[in-house]
Amino acid sequence: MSQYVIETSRLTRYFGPKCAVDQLSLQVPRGSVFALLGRNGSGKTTLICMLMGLLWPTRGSANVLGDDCRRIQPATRGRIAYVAEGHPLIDWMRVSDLEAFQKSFYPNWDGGVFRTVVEQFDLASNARASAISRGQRAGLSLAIALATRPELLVMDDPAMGLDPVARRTLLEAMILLTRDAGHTIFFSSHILDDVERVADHVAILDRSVLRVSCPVDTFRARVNRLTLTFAGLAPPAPNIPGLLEVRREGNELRLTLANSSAETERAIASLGAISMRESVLTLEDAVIAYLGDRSRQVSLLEKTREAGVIQ
Amino acid sequence: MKAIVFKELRENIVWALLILPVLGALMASVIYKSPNETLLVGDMFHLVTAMGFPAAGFVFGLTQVLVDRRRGRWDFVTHRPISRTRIFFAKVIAGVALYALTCGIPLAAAIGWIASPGNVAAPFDWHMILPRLADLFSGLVWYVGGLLVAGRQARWIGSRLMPAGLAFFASIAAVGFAMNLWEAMAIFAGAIVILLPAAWGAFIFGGEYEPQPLAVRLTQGIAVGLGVVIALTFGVALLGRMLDATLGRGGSTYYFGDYEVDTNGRVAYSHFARNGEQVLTDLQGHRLSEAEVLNFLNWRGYTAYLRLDGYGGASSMTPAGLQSQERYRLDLGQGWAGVGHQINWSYLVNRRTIEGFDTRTRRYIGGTGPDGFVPAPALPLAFPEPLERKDWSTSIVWGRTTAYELDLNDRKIARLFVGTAQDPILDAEKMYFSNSLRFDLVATRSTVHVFTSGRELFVVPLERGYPQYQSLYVGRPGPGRVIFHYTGAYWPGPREYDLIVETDEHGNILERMELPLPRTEIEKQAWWVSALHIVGDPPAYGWMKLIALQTAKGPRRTRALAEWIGIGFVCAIVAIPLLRPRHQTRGTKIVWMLIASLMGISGVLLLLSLRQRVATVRCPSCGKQRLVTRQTCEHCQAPFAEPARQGIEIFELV
Repeated sequence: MSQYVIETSRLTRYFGPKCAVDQLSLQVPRGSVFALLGRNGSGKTTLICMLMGLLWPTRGSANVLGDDCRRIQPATRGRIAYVAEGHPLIDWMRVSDLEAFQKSFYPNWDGGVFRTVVEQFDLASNARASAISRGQRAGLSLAIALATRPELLVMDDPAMGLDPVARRTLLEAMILLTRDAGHTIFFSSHILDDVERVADHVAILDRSVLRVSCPVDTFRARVNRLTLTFAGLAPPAPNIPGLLEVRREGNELRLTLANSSAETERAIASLGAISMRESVLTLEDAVIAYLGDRSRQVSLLEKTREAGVIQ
Repeated sequence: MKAIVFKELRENIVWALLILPVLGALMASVIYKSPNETLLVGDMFHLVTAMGFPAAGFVFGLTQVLVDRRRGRWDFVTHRPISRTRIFFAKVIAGVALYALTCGIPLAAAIGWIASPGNVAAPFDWHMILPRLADLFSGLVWYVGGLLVAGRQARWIGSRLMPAGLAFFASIAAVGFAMNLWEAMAIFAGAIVILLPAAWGAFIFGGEYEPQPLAVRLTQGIAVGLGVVIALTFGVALLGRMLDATLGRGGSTYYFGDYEVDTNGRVAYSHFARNGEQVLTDLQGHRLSEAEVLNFLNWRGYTAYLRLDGYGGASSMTPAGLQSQERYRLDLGQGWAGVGHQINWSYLVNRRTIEGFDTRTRRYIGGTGPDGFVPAPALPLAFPEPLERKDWSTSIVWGRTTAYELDLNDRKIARLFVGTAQDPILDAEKMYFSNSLRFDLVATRSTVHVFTSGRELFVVPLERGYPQYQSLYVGRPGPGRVIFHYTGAYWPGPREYDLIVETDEHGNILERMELPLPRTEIEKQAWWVSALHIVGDPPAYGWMKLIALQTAKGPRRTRALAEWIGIGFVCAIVAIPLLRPRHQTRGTKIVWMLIASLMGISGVLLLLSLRQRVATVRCPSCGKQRLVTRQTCEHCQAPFAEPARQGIEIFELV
């Protein structure tokens, strides 16, 4: 049994002339909670759809639980639970109908897990899917997914549009699954707080290219922020290796760096700052540094202030 | 799989609940409006089932796929531990069941109502159900067509609807050509054999064309191609009509000459002038006076028209196919005598009996066999051979060897003529000279028999033998004279001869006149009509026409050949840029160019409908545009380079 539940090699997808996923090679370790991050349109949903066999890759390959994503066998699909973006359900069905519907396909259906999650979201069994709140819909989707006792749970932005309480409940339900060793969760999200809370691995897609794939701790350790103070106005940032983000505000230059090395330190030293302060980054700050526009050295706020739009 | 079937049933029952009452109401309204007709094979009932069933099938096919193709929903429905093939066939099972119930329930109810005595003043025969069953199966083809239309990824304003062309073609072919239910079924089965794999492929691969297996792509190509050809044919016809309205004179106009005989037995030449006016001249070309013209116009009222080509009967004139009323019942008109109100009389083709129905009670009142009338509830004896009758005249009916004189008012039947199987009856007709004098005529392959009051007056041999002869007009200009006018056509138009024979009332020939062939003037179609056909028609159709029309020789044939070769060549050339970028193999390109050269514009449109645009990028190695679908550059074999590193990448394998 492979230690990776998902393995892709140079996986690529074009929509017409637009490249949505570019030569993506990724491994998702078994038993991990793997968060896929990226801005809107970076290719997260396309990647997930390809992995689930819903979209045909233009080039490259992907294996999910050992099956080629182009030909995932029904038995393998039974080991994968998938919650698509927006928590699609069959709207005319009641909660009990949906349970009966799903149950008929999964011999190892766990009614206990289903009821636990459903109760957690205050869902009555006779409630119609079309009439429940967005949070409850997410809960119901998750209940359906978890009750199949999947080896791999794939979720596309499960927390989208949920209030904090619903999000927290959703996270708890996800944790319910990961109690069993060997189960893997692969999910995309924009809620970095949630990712920080549950994920142990993270991957970042930046304009259809994979830039990061590592454990969360490694990511945190390899991304740091330096604040340099200068005697006069801060100079423009030079071309420093691993530079993710630059902010110039008065006599301060704030640099967010990845993969700092001796060469990086030398480049920073040559700037002639009078003091240097290193601060700890949250996952959110680190990810935003990755996903922001790296060529922009002045924040929008600073720009508008300089232009006199705001004081 | 059961769960999917149940889901589909539950989800689409709303359509069933909408369509079923509509179909039921339409059928009920047809029954209500004409309770004295044989409704199951009537035109209106045919219209309801021939249009309604396919429409219902198409709606079911479309909605079953479109509802699930909504974003997200597709993922939820297809991501489960059963193959998509099973999901697809579960849908098909549910769809077919719903369709069968939606259309079958109102049809069964209508059949039950019509078949029950006292509801319809017309006979019922179970064979009459067969054309309606064919319509029911026709809807299945449309259902599968709907699945394919909804499943394919194409623009609605583009080629999305094109696969419906095959369903349309199958329905038209079954109505137009099928003589029996099994033939209609074979046509539908053929269409389903093409449409079902195509619909399956579209469903399995989420509508994408390229990943589908070759055989499945081929079926989709056939379905779409046929739709394109049909759409183009209609398009050309529509454009032709529009141009006709603006430019005028769309098709070739024919001005036929013909011969007429007047009530005095004179022969005149008749033709239509270009302004549409009928002009009558004597054989020397002098225009006739208005009084003389009137004599000619009256003449046809005193003649019997016999067809000598074997198509004399109403049902044999147009081949009695599965959907033809004459296949099941010949309407013999009404009779009043004895009851004071209308009795509907019909000849039942399959029972070979003549049956009468009271329009007031709508019940069977009795029937007529070869030996006479029997009252209800007894059924008459069956006629020994199938009967025929004229469309406009029901007082004589005839079989292969025997002709009968019918009097439906008095409910009497009498044998008029008994011939032999070697010299079968071709046609029979009555000819009134006055209220008191009527001639009955029976034409066999060799002779014409003239009767009056059931007594044979005389027999004349046919001047020319069956089946070369087309029509024979027989008239009586006055006592002692009978005119036989043979023409080599059954309709005004080109013919090979015109012959007039005059006899006395004993069959002795008094005069025989071979007439010169009447002139036919053809005003040729406008140049733009020819151009439209050259451009719009598939060259392969032109080739077939040239092979079929052996008569087209000389410069006309050479010109047609040049036109078809030219348009085929142009279309093949037009296809070349469409075959770029080069993701097809050389063989595929040659096949497409061949298709374009044979199908013309239809082929080019088919290529446009099916080809998938594949993006190209500049190869950093050789600088040429390379296909994104290939692992290596097709020019320099260089693999795609990894995305450029920016020094910010963090990769750590566990």
